[in-house]
Amino acid sequence: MVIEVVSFRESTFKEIMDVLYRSLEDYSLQEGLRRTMANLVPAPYRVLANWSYIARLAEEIRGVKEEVIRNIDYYIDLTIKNVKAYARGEGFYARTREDVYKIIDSILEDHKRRMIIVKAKSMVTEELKLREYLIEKGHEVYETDLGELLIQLSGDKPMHAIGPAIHIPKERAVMLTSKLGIKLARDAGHEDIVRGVREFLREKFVKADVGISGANAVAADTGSIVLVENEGNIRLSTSLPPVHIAVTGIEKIMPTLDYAIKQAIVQSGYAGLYPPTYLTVISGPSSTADIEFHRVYGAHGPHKFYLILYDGGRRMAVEHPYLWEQLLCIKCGRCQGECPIWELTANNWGGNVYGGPMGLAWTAIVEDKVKASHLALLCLECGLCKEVCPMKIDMPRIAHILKRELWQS
Amino acid sequence: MIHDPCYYARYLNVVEEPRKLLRRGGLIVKDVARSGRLTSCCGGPLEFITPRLAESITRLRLEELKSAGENIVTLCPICYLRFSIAGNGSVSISDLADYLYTIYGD
Repeated sequence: MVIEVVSFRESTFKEIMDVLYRSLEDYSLQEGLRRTMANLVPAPYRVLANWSYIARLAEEIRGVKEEVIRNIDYYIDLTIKNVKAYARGEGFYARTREDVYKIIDSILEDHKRRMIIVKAKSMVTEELKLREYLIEKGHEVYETDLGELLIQLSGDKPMHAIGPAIHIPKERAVMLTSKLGIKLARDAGHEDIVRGVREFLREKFVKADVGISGANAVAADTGSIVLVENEGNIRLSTSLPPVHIAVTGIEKIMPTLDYAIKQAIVQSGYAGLYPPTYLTVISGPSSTADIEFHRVYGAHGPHKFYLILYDGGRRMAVEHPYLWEQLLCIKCGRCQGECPIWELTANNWGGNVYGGPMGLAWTAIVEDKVKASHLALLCLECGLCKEVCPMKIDMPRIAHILKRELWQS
Repeated sequence: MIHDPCYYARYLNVVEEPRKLLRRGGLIVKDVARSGRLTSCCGGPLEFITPRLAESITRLRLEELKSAGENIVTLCPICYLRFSIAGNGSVSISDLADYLYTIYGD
């Protein structure tokens, strides 16, 4: 294997360590993590013991995902073609962040100027800093996933793949939601916070011009997207506004709709949230042909559907000798909860978006390989992440090579 | 109470062997939830890069082990050393070899 030599930078390493040491002393973070870990870690074990087919599905889709990644250009083209053919929407491939901005600008240009946009949680839109961009453009943007809304209000980075606000104890959540004018007692319980946010967001859902979501999987044969959730915010974000834009990474493509649904099931199972409260398949805009069999687009759901397939370094990673394997990741976040380092620091051990074991290669792919190599120095190579990963991605090996490339310098 | 070392359990798949040897000697072997192939690291590999973080990891794991049993048995000299230092006499840490000698020695 070709070793890419990366120079060790004292300052980069020091920055990383400063953040880690600060997080060890951050009482709120440690308390939030302690409470979360007790619920987060055992959940997938219970799910996998109860529904044994989930582990079998995981094994099955790994091979399918490898095939997609090896032929990624073919599958990108096929998906875009079928979004038009079957989903009656429009599909785009976007190489860079700016390309995504341009596509979204052109979609929004067709409509009125200042818009209310409701967003479902998506790590890819975090990569894109899409919320920040749209707010800068003058739009009113609301994250509708409770955890992600707390992230929007706190300005923190997401701390876990599916639970972005796991570091925020409820006392801090009360403080943060008060920024929206939600009035809660200082000792408000979990239920009070959820009710306050629900009442606040309900009106935004109804008034929203555009809904933006990610996708847990994309089906190349039908141009559909599959979404999995428990809050119900994704259903509201993707069905109440007249326009729905889905943004996701190219590695989420599956050859067919049945595999796309399987991928969403595996993701939800390994995240410990099974059965998922909602599993949604969206194949384009809503429509009706109930009067004279004349089809009208835009019934109760959106009348426009757009799918943006984002590259952001992924296509380069396809050719990479060892980073490619991370493209199999379905972002369930299980490796994070199990990692002894992540257990103490959450995504503070990570790049701007992705942290923990999965965060090493993802940071190298979408952000900064040098930073990833320095982060890898902390990996224990204990191997637990690989053991619990549904795709059995050899993250300890990736960390080992990233380290070795640094030592060569 | 066996603490499986990462390398034995996950890289070499040595999980049942030490348990069998101890049981054959009449001992009762207990396990924490995170054991066998799902064992949790003692923090040793980080000792020279960041002793502070390594210590926090060792303490967490030791608490977990202590909550399930009095006598902790390790198989790896790094785990042994780290738990001995972190335990500071508050808990009994032994290497598997100590037990094997008692059971099968001489």
